[in-house]
Amino acid sequence: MQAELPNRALAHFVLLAAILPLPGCWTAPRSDLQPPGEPRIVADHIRVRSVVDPTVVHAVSAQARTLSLVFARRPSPGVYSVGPAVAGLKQVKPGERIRAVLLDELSVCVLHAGAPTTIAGVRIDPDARVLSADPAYRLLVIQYPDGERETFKVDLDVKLGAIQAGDAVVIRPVELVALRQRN
Amino acid sequence: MRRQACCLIAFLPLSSLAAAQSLSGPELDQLLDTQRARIEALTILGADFGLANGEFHSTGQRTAGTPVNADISVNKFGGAGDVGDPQSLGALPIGWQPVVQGSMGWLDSTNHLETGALAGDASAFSAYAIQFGGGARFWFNDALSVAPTVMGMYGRVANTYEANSPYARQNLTSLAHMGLIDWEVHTWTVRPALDVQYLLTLGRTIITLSSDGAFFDTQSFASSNRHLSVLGTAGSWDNKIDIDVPLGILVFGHELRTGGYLSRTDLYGGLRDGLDVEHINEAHARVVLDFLGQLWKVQWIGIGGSYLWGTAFTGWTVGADVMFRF
Repeated sequence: MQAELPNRALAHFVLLAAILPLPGCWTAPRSDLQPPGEPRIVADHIRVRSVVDPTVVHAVSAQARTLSLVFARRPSPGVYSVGPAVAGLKQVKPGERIRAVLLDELSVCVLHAGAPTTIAGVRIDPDARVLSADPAYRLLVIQYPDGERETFKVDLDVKLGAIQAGDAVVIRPVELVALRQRN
Repeated sequence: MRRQACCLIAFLPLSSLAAAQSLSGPELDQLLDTQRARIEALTILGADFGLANGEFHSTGQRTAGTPVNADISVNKFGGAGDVGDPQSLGALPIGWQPVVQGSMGWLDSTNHLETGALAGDASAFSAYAIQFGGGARFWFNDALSVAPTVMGMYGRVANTYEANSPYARQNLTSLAHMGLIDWEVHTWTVRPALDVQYLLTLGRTIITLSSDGAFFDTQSFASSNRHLSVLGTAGSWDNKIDIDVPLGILVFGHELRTGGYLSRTDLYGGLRDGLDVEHINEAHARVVLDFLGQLWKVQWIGIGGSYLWGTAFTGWTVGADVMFRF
């Protein structure tokens, strides 16, 4: 059976498809933008949790309950205090590959061209830059110098609306929440 | 990927069955045409992710005729989703990302005949269908996007007739031979579609305006009755406003969100004729937990419910509301 075509609907769609694309244009997110204004700290003490699998153990201190981890994306190892729920620290050896659940603290700053700067007497040496911030779902996407991206879910009290693409990000290690040794 | 949905029914003028024995060729063809439209419509309704699932009750016919007393149950699993983040389309100021769509579902409906020579009989339809396809979404700015897609669909629709009336018992073989009852048809459908979407943000609240037109070209490739083959076209046009509101409350480490949508779907061709429905309205509400960035590919998990109404029918659905983001 041949039924009539929805001519009116098709006409509306052709019209929409033709007219709606006209305003504005799309641009891919970029982290190399220069946010306006003087160097300053935009947001501080943003606690984020991430899973790194694998990462390499650089040093272990069972007594101090600290673990130093090497990241391909960061210039120097990060030293984490080991959380109370982590057991078997004595079995972890330097050079070993592990899966780690980490708690970090982020600072987001405006810097000139993302270069290291001193703000309020503190030297800011960024680890990454902001690629995008989604306040609706509390997602902060950062991009490392090697181009890799990482997405963090931030806490409810973080004002993501103030954070812009191109802002510098400093990552401070806080705690190793969990670990699993890899073969 | 998101479960969406919806639907209804039209039934063969079953009273015509009682007169089928004395039908001339053109009259029989007309009855079979109605049957064909129904097969097309039930296949689409049974699986298409753009039409709602749920429990429906038909309260009458769009056109004047014998009142119907029909219950329809439609169950589906599927939806549509954009894959990854938009990428640049060459040097053009346009972003694009792949779109995947898929759905499978089954439908059962029974029409209880309460008047006339067929009183006491029941005509049951069952449909099973599966569809899959995809396309691309093109972003013209951060808010406006257009997604042309193509899908393919397989469907199987069957009728079984419970003859309790003296007339039906006496003429059961003839009615079946004519292709009016007790048949099974297998179909395939091509479904091109175009979705236009506009996103608005108010603080952390997201409002999505969308308009989605789909065209269905259906043909049968196997039938239990030589009189019953299907070759038809149909269309649907869905216009929707969706609101997604974060509540700022954490439950088990996930933010509580609420929202819902209002939509109107206009039906055309075989869908309208086969279901005997011109349009479907849906009011949907949901309460969900935000898992985006916390559970792989999952945007939210919660519960949702819809009330549906339209030409001579009402329906409802309640179930899990799960949204994926690929």
